[in-house]
Amino acid sequence: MRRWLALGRSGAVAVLLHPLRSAVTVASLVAVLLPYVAGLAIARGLLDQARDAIRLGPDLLVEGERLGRPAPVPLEAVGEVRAIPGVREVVPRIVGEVRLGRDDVSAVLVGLPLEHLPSGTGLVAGRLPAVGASHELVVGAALARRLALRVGAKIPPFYRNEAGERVSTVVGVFRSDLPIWSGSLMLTSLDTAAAVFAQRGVASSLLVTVDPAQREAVRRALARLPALGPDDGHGPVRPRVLAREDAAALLPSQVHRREGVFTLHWLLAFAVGLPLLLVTTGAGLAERRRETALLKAVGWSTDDVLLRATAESVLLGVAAAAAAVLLAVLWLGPLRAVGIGAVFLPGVDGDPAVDVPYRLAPVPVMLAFLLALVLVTVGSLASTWRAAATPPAEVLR
Amino acid sequence: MSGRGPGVVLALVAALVTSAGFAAVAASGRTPAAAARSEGFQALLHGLGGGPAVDLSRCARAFDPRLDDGCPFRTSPVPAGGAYCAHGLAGLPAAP
Repeated sequence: MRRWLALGRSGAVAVLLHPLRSAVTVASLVAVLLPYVAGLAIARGLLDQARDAIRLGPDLLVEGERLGRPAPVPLEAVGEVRAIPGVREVVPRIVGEVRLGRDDVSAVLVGLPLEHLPSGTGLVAGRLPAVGASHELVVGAALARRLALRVGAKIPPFYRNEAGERVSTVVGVFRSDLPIWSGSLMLTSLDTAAAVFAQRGVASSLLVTVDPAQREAVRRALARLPALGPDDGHGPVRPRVLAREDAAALLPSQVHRREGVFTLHWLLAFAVGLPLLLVTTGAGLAERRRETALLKAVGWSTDDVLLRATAESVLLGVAAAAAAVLLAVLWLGPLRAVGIGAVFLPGVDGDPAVDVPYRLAPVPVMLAFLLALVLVTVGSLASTWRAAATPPAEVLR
Repeated sequence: MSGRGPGVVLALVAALVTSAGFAAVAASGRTPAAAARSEGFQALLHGLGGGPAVDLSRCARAFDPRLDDGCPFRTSPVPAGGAYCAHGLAGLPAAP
């Protein structure tokens, strides 16, 4: 045991013998590991929020279909769907893109029947749009910051409608610590959203809540509907039904596959960084050769020299991986993912207005430690082995 | 090399690893308040989002996989092109 402790201590001595080399090795590893750990943490955080989106979404989402593509649903279909046995509630929803301001800032306009909205207390600074009021909006935190909007602000007409365009009023701003999809959101009534898009009598989709025991029967009945709403002269709008389970089944497998691809990319980055690590950990360093020769000359065996190099590598690798994990948590937490959020989440500002979700899973952390150890150990052991296998007299000559 | 140097290095590495362990455990889950806010938002909107995009400017499916059935940025003719979706570095948190 004492021998092992002595070897561990000699590894620390080796770290201190070449402080610059040790610092460069740790810095190189942190530079590669930090984005890797942060990226996987953001992916897991996003997965948590995506699971909520699906779990608290409708049992069945009904869209129209024309020419094999999604199409708006006529509101007359609400009654038809509601009449199907087992259907508890049908909520029409409009979701579409609008552009605002001189810079054409993209926003997601969501229109819902206001009588269906829960209180929303605590989610919004201000209030939700009032039932019966027109052109009242709740805007996301990122949108509010980009367009300098606050509660009470007026937005001049940002859309075109032959029936007239109106000034909108911001009555609330979503909190910044809500899911990332709240950032560019504009929530309003179904009628206001229909006026903004100049599309009366249609919705993007119907959100259907059903009796759990009859979910499959309702789904089959919906799929069998010949058309959603009356014929408008362009042919029937066919129903397209997506169950919650269908969307939920996609998420975990897709995230794991993406993580695999991501890991592969970072392994390539490691491969590119390998020569640098080989140099910094000893390959070609005359000092390491001389040092090894001196140790052998005073009686160290080749195994002892290799164990000392391993101890040095383990210390450097563990320090680098731990520093990467610490910095990742610091960057994503207190520093609010400034700079890195925009890299992984398109559309997020460099200084995010909405909290970037993150969660550190054990596997990526362990993988970071493993990769750091393997890289540093391979770099230093190879050079040490070559030096240790050479007769000391030849090296010291 | 003798003295306290090696001991200090070992202590520093141990402190770093311990701190990283605590940080990893602290960041391994959402706080109940954060989960409640996320659930409240989704209940208000009847479930919206699910992808890595924060708006609809490039790909509706990347914002919410339920909104559209195809991503125009997927380079599907390229072998494994789906992995190179424009949304997210290396397609990491890309839409299904």
